[in-house]
Amino acid sequence: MSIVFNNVSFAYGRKKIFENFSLDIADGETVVFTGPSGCGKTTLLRLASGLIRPQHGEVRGCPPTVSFVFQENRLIPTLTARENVALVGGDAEKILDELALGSELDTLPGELSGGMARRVALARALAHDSPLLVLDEPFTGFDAALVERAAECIRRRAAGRTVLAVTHSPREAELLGAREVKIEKLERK
Amino acid sequence: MVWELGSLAIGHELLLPSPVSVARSLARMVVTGEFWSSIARSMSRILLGYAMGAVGGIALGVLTSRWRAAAAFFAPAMSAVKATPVASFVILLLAWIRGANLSIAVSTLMVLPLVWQATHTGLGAADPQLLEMARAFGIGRIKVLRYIVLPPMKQQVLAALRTALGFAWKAGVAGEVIAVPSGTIGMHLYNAKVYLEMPDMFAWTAVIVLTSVLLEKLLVFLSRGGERKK
Repeated sequence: MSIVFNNVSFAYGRKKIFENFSLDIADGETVVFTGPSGCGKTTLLRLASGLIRPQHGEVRGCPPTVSFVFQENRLIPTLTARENVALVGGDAEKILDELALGSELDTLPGELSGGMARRVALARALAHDSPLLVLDEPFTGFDAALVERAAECIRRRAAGRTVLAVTHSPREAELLGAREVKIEKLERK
Repeated sequence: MVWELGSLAIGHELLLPSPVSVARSLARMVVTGEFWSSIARSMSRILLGYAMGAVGGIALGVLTSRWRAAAAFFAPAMSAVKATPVASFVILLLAWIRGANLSIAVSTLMVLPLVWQATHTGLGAADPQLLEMARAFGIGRIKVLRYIVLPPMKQQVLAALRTALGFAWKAGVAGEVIAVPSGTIGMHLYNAKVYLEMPDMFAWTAVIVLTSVLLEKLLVFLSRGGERKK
C-alpha cells in the first residue's frame, strides 16, 4: 500500500505543524521519521492512518484499518494480554511468546511492567492484518536485547506491509531496515 | 442501651417506647400472615416501580447520550423530577392514580432520574484514546460497546441503582402512608400513628429499615455475582 502526502498542511488551532508537506512512501516500504520533539512526527503517523485529516492538501492511500502502536499503550484494562491481542485477530499466544511474554498471557495490563505492556501493544499491532503498520516509538522501555528481538519480529511479521515508524534512535531505525525521513528538513513552519 | 435509658427517663410509651416493647410488638407481628403479606405487597409494588425506573432510566440515558436533541428535551424534565419532594409527587399523583398503584409510580419517578443521569454520563465516559485505538484497528461496534463503552458506564449505573433502591423503598412507603392502600406497610404505619400504637410504629419503621438494608445487600450480591460470571 503506497501512501502519498500531497502538499499537506495541518495545524492544531493556530499552531502550524505542516505546510505544503509532500512525501511518497512506496508499497511495502519501511520508513522511519526522525526529528526533534514536537516537530509533528506523531501527527504525520495519524495523518497517514486517516485518524486525522489535513486542512489543506491530501493524503492518498490510507487503508480502512491500521495496525497501530500508539505513543500510549492503549490496552483495554479489563482484558488480559492475550485477550487484548486476540481482540484484533491473529495468533495472540504465538506473537506474545515471540516477544517474550509467554508467561504473561493471562495478566491484566495494570499488572504488567511498562516494557511488558509496550510489548503487548506491539504484539496487538503485529497480530492485526492491515497493509499499514504504524509504530510510534515502539521500543519504549525495552533493553538493547529486547529491541533487537522485537525489531526482528517486526521485520519478519511485517514483510510486504508498509511500515511507518517514529524513533529517536538511529540504531532502532537501522534494526528496522528503514528509510529515514528527517521531518525538520521537509516541514516548513 | 441509650434508647432504653431514654425511654426510662421519659417514662411514657406514647413518646418513646422502650426497645423491649418494640421487640414484643415485632414478635407479635411476625407470627401473623398479615405481616408477611403486607411486606410482600409493598415490596412487589415498589420493586416493580424500581425496575420500571431502572429500565426506563437506562433506555432514556442511551437515547439522550446518542441524540443531543433528546438530551435537551429530557434533561430539564429529569432535573425537575429530581428536585420535586416526594410528598408533592404523592399528592399530585393521587389525582390520577389509584392508591394501590401509587407506590409503583412514586418509586419509578425516584429511580428514573438517578439511573438516567448515570447512564447518560457513563456512556460519555469511555476513554477517547481507546475509542481511537478501536477505530484504527477497525474493531466492531459490539466489541467496542462491550469492552470500551460499557465497563465505565456499568460502575456508574450500578452505583446509581444501589442509591436508587433505598430512595425507591423509602419513597414508596411514604407514598403508601399518604395513599393508605390496604394491606401494605404504609397502611400499618399510618394506622399505628392514628391509633397512637407507638411500639407498632417503631416496629414497622425497623422493618422498613431492615428490608431496605437487605435489599441493598441483595443487589450488591447479585451485581458481584454478575461480575464473577463475566
